[in-house]
Amino acid sequence: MSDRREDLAFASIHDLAPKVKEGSVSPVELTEIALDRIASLDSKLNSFLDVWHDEALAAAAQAEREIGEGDYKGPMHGIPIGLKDLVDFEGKATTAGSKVLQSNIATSNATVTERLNRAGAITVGKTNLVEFALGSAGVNPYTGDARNPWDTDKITGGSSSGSGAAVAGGLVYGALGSDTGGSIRMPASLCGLAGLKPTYGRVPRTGVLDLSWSKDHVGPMTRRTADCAHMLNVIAGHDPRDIASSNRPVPDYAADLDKGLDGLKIGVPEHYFFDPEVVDPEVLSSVNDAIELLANNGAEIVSVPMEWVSNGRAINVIISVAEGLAVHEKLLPKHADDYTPAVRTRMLTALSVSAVDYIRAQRARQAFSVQMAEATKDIDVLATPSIPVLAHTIAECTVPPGEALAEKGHEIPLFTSIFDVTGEPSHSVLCGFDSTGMPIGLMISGHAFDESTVLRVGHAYEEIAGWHSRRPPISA
Amino acid sequence: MTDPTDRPSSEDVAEGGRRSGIPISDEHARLVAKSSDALFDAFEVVRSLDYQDHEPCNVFNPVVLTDASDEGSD
Repeated sequence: MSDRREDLAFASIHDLAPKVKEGSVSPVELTEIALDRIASLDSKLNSFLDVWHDEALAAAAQAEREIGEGDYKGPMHGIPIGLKDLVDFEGKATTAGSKVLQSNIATSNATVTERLNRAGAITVGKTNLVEFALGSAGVNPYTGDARNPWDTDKITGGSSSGSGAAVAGGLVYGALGSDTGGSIRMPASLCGLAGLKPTYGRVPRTGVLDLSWSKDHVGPMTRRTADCAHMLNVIAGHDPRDIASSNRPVPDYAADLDKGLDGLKIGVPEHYFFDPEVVDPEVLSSVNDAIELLANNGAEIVSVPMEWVSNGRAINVIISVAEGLAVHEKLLPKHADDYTPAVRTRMLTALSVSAVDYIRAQRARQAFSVQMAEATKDIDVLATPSIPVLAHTIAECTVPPGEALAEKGHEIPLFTSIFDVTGEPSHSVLCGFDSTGMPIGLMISGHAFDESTVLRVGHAYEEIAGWHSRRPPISA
Repeated sequence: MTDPTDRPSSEDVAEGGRRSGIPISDEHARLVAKSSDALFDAFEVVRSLDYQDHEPCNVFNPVVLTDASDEGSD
């Protein structure tokens, strides 16, 4: 691949958009690059389950005509993206990475799909995922494991594993993920991306398969925080068909990106997130360096005691498995043998959750959320590691048939899941690399519906640190 | 960490499956029982929490979203 095409493949949406608007970069060329890279690299990454070559080129040609006629729709117009394969696209299969749904053809678009289509984004296909989004490592023995472009023996993280691999590998510019315990931010961290879990209710889930109704979020995964802002601008906003959808006005999430760090108070938890017994020393070192950089560039760092915060993980576990089994109560008896063994086993652990256990967890969640809001009321965002460990190998996280669930990988969602419980916006950005060259993530979490400040901090950090200029070793 | 004897037996899992209309083989019930440690640890943590002083919970909309501008919950 020529230098120009390689540079275009790894450009940000934020940088490409004005060039697409003025006509110096063509949506058809961007789509051809995406399709060529998928053709040449995805046998190594396994990031896509379905690729729509002809439809994508036709949509790109249409985008090019519209832009040429002065009908520019905004920064996503003409940009190739992927959809996690639990998001409906009319006329295409939504499989959730499972044999159970291999013939499940969507009869309409998900709300987020419809909004991306209207914004002129070019969906090139569906990305791989953990079966039914129920897993953190990113492995899927039915579809084959997505592989990390930074080291194809390592996990991508899950459950939005294919979205993580595809964006990190420069196959597409952005992808949708979903996040119930960290499934946007874990692959974002392990693949070196920007990944935003918006506030619960900010992005509607209509037409997106459920995992856990009271904790499911949909959000963008991109290489740069500014690109997350552009995607969120398109997909956020009320939809009455999603009972949790917020009717609050949607601001321009790109408007505050360049405001810098001056005047912002960044909280650093005293407990759990920086406990050396929980967090790998290389992760601690990178994240502490990142916080120092934020402090040296205008932010005020505030220490925040929260000795109770690890309880959020326990609350998340109970609600996830109980709601997950309830979602599958009709499918599972009919298709039990079509589920992969590890996912079926994980779901069935919920048979031990009583109604009282579930309601107790939701009550504890309400109290936990109040506790978090009180502890963070005087700061703008919290800065923590995204995940506490370095990337495991795929082999370490694969459960052999007939064995109990693997221990490796259970620690990946310890931190991300806290903010699925509170519903607050939470964003992972690349903050360095470990000694083996694998990415490390900084998690920036904010107040409900204040995605703008979370994105502002993420963007400011990226601009100062410059880690995003590195590209993974995988090449065409 | 709870006492391992508090964990479900494979018979408990199979019986839970029967009650829920989900057939589970003896072998798979054994695997599910062996894979329940994290869940039972979570039960113990949540049972120990003090949440009784808060308002009754709407379990169908339990997310408490307090924004930075003090505009209240959504």
